[in-house]
Amino acid sequence: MIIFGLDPAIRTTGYGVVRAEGPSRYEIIDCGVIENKKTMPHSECLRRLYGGVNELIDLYMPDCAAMEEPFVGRNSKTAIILGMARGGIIAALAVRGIPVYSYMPSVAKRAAVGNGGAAKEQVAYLLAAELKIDVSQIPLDSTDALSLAICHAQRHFHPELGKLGKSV
Amino acid sequence: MYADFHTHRPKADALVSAREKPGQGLWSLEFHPWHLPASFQMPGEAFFHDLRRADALGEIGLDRLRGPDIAVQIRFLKTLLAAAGEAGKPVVIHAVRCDAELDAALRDFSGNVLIHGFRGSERRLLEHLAFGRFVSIAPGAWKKYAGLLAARGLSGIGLESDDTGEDIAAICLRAERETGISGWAELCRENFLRFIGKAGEK
Repeated sequence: MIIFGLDPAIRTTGYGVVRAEGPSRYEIIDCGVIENKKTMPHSECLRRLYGGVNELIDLYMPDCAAMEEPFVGRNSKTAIILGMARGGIIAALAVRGIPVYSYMPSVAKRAAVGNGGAAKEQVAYLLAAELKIDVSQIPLDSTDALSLAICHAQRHFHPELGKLGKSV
Repeated sequence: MYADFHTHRPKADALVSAREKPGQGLWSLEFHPWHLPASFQMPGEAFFHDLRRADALGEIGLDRLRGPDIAVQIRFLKTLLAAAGEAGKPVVIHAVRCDAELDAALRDFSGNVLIHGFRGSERRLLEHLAFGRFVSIAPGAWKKYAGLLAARGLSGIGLESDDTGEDIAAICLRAERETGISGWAELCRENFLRFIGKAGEK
């Protein structure tokens, strides 16, 4: 099963592609970011996000996707912009018929590295050690996305660990 | 008029469609995810023949906790939904821990959908209803939706006996007593007839 983890943001969307063959048999097959320059208008950012996600779908043919559960901080404008990014990504996944689940970031990190409050650097080091890859191959902005994919894989293969995320 | 739309009688081979059809009344063609083979096989001619005569297709669906690999189940489900769509038959869905996969698979299906044995969250119940699906609540689970159903009414909602062996009329009475909502039997029957495409019939 190939799981597409996504940590949406209008400027830097992290992604992680994990192959899960069975309980505790996970492999990172790609991770990275879809970047948009600060000067780009939102419409262009969304077009690039939609296109970028589509390219990754063509490349890896994921069976499902795991995304961050949306949150609303003090700044409502930020929440609206994040909502736009999520919308662009969810639309790309829905058009291709890919099921999407959402998890709280802390739940995903706890599943992946045992600590829901771990910093990106910690997550990167722990994932690199666990999955036996070089830490330099994991961009920090993709650690949350990888955690989401691994969290979903764990819930898929070990239902006793907890329910799947919400269907998006 | 109630139908045995639901048996968990294991079949030796899910690809061989159910032959034990009642002489009268409604019947559905079961292709239960629990009894699917380990790899995908296109249903045979007998299936398509029986589907044309059936009132509905189901239980079909997805179960993350039982049955073959979820990818195999999804492939079967999509194939069965396409067949049901072509034959103009409603489907009865068995779904366990696979909400997103189910939503994705049902996206292209325009026929009537009944979610069987529902015991999920209120949020999920509302999602199903918003998609226009019918929801058959698992025995005893109605209590947790009592407030919600009292507020929105029972449109699209049904009850079932499942494996309890309890009479459906008794279940409706019990639901009525425990939720404080009246008219379960009548409304469930109306909803069921709408699902099966026989609304207005006695």
